[in-house]
Amino acid sequence: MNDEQSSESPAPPPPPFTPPADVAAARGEADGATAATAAAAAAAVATNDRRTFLKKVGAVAAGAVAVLVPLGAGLATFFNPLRKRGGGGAADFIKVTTFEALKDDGLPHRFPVLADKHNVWMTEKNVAVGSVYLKRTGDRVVAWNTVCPHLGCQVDVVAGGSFKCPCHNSMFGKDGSLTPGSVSPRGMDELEVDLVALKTGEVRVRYQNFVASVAEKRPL
Amino acid sequence: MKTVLHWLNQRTHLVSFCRALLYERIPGGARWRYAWGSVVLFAFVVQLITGFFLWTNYSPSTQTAYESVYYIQNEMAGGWLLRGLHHYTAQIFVVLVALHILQMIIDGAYRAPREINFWLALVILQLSVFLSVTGWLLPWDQRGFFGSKIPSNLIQLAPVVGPYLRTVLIGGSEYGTHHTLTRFFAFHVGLLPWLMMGAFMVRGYMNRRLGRHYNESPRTDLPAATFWPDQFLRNAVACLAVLAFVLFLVVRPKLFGSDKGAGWGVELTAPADPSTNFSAARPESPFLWLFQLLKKFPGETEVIGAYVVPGLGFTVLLLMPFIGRWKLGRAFNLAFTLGIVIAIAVLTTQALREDSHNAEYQAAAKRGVAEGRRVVELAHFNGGIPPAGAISLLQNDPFTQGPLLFKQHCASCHRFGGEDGIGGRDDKDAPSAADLKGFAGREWLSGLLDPAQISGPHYFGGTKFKDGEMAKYVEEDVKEFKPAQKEELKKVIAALSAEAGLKAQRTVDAGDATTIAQGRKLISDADTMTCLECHKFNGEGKTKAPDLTGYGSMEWLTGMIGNPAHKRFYGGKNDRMPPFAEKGLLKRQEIELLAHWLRGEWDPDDFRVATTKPTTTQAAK
Repeated sequence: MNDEQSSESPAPPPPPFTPPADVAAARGEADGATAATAAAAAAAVATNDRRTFLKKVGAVAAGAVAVLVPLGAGLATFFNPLRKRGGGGAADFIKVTTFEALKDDGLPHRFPVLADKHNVWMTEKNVAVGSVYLKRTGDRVVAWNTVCPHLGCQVDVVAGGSFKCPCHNSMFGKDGSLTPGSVSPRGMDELEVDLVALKTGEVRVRYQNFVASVAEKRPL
Repeated sequence: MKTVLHWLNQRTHLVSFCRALLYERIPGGARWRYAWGSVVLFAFVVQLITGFFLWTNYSPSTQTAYESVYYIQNEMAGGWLLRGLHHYTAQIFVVLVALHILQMIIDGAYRAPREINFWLALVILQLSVFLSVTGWLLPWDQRGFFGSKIPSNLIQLAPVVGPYLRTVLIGGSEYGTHHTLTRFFAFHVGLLPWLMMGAFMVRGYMNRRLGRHYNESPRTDLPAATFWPDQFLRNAVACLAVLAFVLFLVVRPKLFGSDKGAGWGVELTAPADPSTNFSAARPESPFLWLFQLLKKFPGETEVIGAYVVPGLGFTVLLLMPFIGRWKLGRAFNLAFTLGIVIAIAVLTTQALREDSHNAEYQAAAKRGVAEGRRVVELAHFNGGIPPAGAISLLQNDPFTQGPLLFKQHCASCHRFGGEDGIGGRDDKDAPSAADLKGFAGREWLSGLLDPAQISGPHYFGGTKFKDGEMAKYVEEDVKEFKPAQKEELKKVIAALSAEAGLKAQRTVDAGDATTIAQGRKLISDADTMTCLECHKFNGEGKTKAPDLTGYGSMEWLTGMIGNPAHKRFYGGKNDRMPPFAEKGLLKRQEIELLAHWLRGEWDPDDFRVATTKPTTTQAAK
C-alpha cells in the first residue's frame, strides 16, 4: 500500500462474501450424482433450510428479549405518570383567608393558597400551591383560579375589576366570563366557596387546577 | 510518524478515509456559498462542547438547578461566556438551519435523488425546536420556567395523543414538578442530540454517496480544487464569522446596552416560583412569531394556530421535492417559501413592537431582572446560598417582599410615596390612611405636625382623626407657635424621630445628640409641650393616644401593624386598620418584612441595633 500517493477516490469496498466450495458442494450443487444422492441431497437441503429457519427464529427471539427487557423497564417508568390518572375524588376545601380580611369593594384580590404540596418524591407542608382571586360584594364571595385557561399564564386584574392575561391578551369580564375575540377557549375558572364556612367568617375554597386549552372545564 | 500512520491504516483504513474526506474534489473550485452546511455543523459542535462543559457544573434538580447555574454564571471563571455561547448559539442554530433549508429550496436541491437530504434538514430543524424548548427550562429561573410552560400546554392540543404525551413529558398532570425537570433534561442531553447527530451523519453519508449538490452544475471556467485547504478555509472563516456574531450577542448587554446594571452574558432572572405571576413569559427570539400567531386564534380555534397552520406549512415543505418536479412547481415552492419568510418577519416585528409598548410586560421583565440581581447581592451578604435555595433568600428579603406585601395588604388604604408600593397608582380611590414613605423620619414628622398638612390626604385626611384632638392641637395650637416654640418643636421632632433609629438618619442623629437630648426633655416637660396630656413617653403620660416610646422602631412598628387597637397604640379609637397579627391576616415573618421595608432596612449593615435610651455622649454606633 503506497501511503504517499493521494487517492482521489475512496478505497474499493471489500468483495462480497462467497461461501467456500465445500459448502456449495454440501448443498448438493457439485458434480452429477445418482438419483438417490440427489434425493438425499434434496432432503439434506430441506433439513438445512429448516435448521436455518429455526436458527433465524431463535436469533430474533433472543435478540428481542435481550433488548426489549431493559427497554420495557425504561418505558414502564416513562409512562408511570399516566397511571395516576383520575386522582382521588374532588379536592378538599382549603382556608384562604377570613371574611373580615376581604375588602367589600366588589374587586378581585389575589390570595395565595397554602396546602401540602406533593412533588413526586417530596412533600412540603403548608406551602403555596397556587393562588386565587377572591371578590366580595356584600355577603357574597366569588373565587377564581388565577391561571389563564388558554395556556397557563397568570391572569392580571385591570382597573375596574375585569381580568386580562398578559401573555396573549385574553380578556375576561368582572364576572370572569370570556370577552369575545379573546384567544382563551373559556372564561376564568370559578372555584367553589364553602358557604357553610363563610357564615362562620372563614373563606374556604375548593382549590383545583383545570386542563388548559379546551372549552370544557375539566379538573386536572 | 509515517510508520505509525501506516500501521494504523493497514488495520483500520482510517488514514485513507480521512484523506478521502479532506481531499474531496470540488469541480469549479471552492466557493463561499458552499460554506452554509459547515456553518450549521459548526453551531451544532459548539452546542455539544459548551453543553458538555455546562453539564459538568449543572445539577438537574428543582432544588439545585438554579443555584448551580447561578454559580456558573456568577462565580466560575468564564462561566458567563460558556453559558452565553450556549444560549445564543442555540438561537443562531435554528436560524442557520432555516437559512440552509431556504438555500436548498432556492437552488432546487431537494430534487431527486436528494429528497432524503432535504427531509433530514427539516428533521434537524424540528429537533432544534425540541432542544430549545427543553433547554429553556433547565436554569429553572422565571423566564425559562414560564417560557417552557406554554409549549408544554400546547402539546395537549395534539390530536388523540396530546394529553397523554403532555402527561408523560412533564411527568404528571402539573407542570413544574421534579420530573418535569428530569425528563426535559434527559431529552435535552440524552436523546435529542443523538438523534440530531444521526441525522447529520446520514446526510454526510448521503452527500458522499450521491455527490454534493453543487457538483451537479459546477463552474467550468475555473479549475477544480480540493476541500482541503481551499474550501476548508472558507468554511472556517464563515464559522468564525458566526462565532464573532454570537460573541457580540453575548457581550452586547454589558458593552452596548442601555441598562447600566447589566452583567456579563445572559443574566439569570429570579428563581422560578410557580405560585407567582410572571407577566413577561416569552419564547426566545426565533420563536416569537409563533407566540404572536397564537394571539390571533381565539377560543376553540387555538388548535388551528398551534397545529394546523404550522402543520400545513411543514407538510408543504415536506412535499416540495415532489412539487418541485415541474417548473411551475418550483416557482410555487419559491413563492410559498417567500411567503413564509415574510410572515415570520412580520409576526416577529409585531411581537417585538407590542411588547415594547406593553407597560405590564416591561415592568414584569424589569422586575424579573432586578430580582435576579438581588439574588446575587443576597448571596454575597449571606456568604453563599443556603440549602433552602436561592428562592428562600428572596422570600426573606424585605427589599423584595416589602413592596409586594404592602401592595397586597396595605395599599387599599395607605399609599407609599403616592403609589401602591410596586410603582402602580390607582387614582380612583382616595387614600384612607397615611402615606407611609419615610415614616417616622424627620421630614415625615414635620409634615404631620404641620397645620397645613395634618388633615390633608398625606396624613389624617382620609381617616376619622382629621376631626380628632391631634389635628385640632396642630391646627390651632401649633399654628400659633412663636419662633422660639417652633425651634423647640424642631427639637421634639428630632428626638421623636431618633426613637425609630432609622438607617437613613443614623449619621444625622449621631451628630445631633444634644438636640435630641433636649428634645426628649421637652416632650417630657408638661410646661413646654403638652404631648404627655395624651401620649406616653418613657413611662410617663397618658394613654389617650399612641405611645411615643420607641416610636417607629422595629418593636413599635411590628406591634402597631400586629394590633393597632391595642391600648398601647390607638386602643378603642382605632379607625379601620385591621389587627394583622391578632386576626392572623399576616404571619409574624411577613409583618417583620413589612416593618423592615418601611424602615428602609434590607442590607446587612442596615440591621444594627439603635438604642432608644438617651445618652449624653455620642449616640449608638
